[in-house]
Amino acid sequence: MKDGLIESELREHGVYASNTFGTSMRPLFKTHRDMIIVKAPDSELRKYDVALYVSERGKYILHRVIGVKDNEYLIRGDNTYSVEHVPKDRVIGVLVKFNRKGKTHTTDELSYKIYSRLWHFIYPVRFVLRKIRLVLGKIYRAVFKRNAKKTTAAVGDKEAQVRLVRSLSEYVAALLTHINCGAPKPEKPKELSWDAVFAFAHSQSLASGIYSAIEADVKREAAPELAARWDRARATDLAKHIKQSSEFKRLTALFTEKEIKFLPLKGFTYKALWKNPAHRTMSDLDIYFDPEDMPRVDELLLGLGYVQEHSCDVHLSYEKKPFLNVEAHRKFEENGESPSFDTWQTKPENPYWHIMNHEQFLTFNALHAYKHYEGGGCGMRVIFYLYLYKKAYENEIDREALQNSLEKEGLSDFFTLIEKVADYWFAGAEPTDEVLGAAYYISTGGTYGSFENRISHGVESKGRVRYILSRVFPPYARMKLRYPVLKKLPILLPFMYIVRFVTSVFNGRNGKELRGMKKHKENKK
Amino acid sequence: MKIKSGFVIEEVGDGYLAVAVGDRADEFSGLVRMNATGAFLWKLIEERDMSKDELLSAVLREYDVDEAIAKADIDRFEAQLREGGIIE
Repeated sequence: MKDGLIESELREHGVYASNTFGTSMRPLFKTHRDMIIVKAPDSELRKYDVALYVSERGKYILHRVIGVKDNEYLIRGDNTYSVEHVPKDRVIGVLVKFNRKGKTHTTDELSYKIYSRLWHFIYPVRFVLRKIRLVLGKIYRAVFKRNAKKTTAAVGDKEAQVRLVRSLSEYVAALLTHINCGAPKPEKPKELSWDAVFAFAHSQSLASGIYSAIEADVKREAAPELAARWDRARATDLAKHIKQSSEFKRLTALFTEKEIKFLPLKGFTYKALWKNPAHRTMSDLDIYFDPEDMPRVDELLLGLGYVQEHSCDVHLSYEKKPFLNVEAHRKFEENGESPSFDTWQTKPENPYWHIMNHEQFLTFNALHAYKHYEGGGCGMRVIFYLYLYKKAYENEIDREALQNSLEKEGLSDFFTLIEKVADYWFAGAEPTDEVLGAAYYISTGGTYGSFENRISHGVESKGRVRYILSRVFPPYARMKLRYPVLKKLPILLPFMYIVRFVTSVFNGRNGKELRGMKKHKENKK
Repeated sequence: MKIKSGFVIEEVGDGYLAVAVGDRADEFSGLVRMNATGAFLWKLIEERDMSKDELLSAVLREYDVDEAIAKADIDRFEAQLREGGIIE
């Protein structure tokens, strides 16, 4: 959901206005009723300022600053009860004026200033009152709305859902191997509707990837709206692919001409392996550059009509509507130093085009998959890709070097698990319970995972106490991601656990997880 | 012409901005940017229905400007608002 509209308005005019939406800034603003006016900030925001920022999912949010740290603001809506940690560069505007119930107000007014400070001051009281309200609500529901049948039905539903997901994922996996590896065409299980197949494939970004095998069946058996939708998905993905490949060619030629070293990452490098690369839909062209070359890269992209959409520590996002998105990476990973370009070989014909060798590539993508896996699920697409890659380069991969590389990152167990899931899905291996659990987790997370999935994953497979322990003492790989000093001095691990615990007490993020867990426990009842 | 109900106009810096609120926001999700003259015209027809001639007289009374230019401005203003679905 990339919408730079508000950012470009602010850049061009310096101010932006809108009506209000949502309940998170009550009692100040009521949804739809009021008008807010923000201007592009010319200095740091202060406590009590109301900030307009872009959330991680690309939504625009207008909430109040309640604290200022070095690199981030602590932000909370007047009617919400959790703190948002917002990096300063995601804040694009600050509230300066508003029209409430037909009356104009500015943020300089005494009455508004009194309101902001007072409302924030009484937060502890509001918090407690809200808790009381919630508890009373629960008691009311427990007393007056008890329904024992609901619980057993819920459990039965869960089993049925697990079976359904298994059936869907096995079918889609079989279609992928049919299309890309010459396996025979699978029969669609009777209990699966084409709508369900589409919905599942779409959630995995595989809708157009499987269409070629089943187009005739869908057109014959499914509702015409579904077939039309599927046709559209394929057409769009094809158009995207054509646009992206030609753009990629153009960009690589230009980088070479300007003598800028580059290393394509992730997505785009995948395409070559799919039988029909158009099947591999992906959103961005990820390329890593030497930080020193970034100004020239910026100049080049802007000269081609790209607009810098937003930036963060790790990469800058450039957009050329409607399809093109280039993520220019200036840091190799979130934490830690970036390796020099000498680490990678170049294509024989082009000394600027760097490529990872097999072991580097598999480790990098395993790390990327692991990050998403821990976050709630990395998707069948990634697993299939790694499977295809391994198959294609089977004889060339140095397994020992790969094993060492994975172990260095603490990923060898994860990688083995992924391989087993891939063998179950794409090579007909019999799955163990562990593999089935992982497969279910991956299938239900969607391509980029979800928070609730992470909670269930942790709790189901490990039991509550062990889950809490694994969050307080997470696996070495995750500690390394968070504290890169451990790569050089692993002996500091126990110390970093203490650091992590202490900092978590002060930034309150654990609160959200514990609440998430409580909800999970209630859902199971 | 008259501005439909449900619009709010505010002065910001050296310009004016208007948005739709309440139920009108379901129909109109844009943002209107105006200069002082535009805002002057807007405010005239916020509450009252006025014809182009009436607006012309008001402009000529308030501003020292050539009648032909004022007429052209009002025509353009009306066309833009009508296209945006803002006036009735």
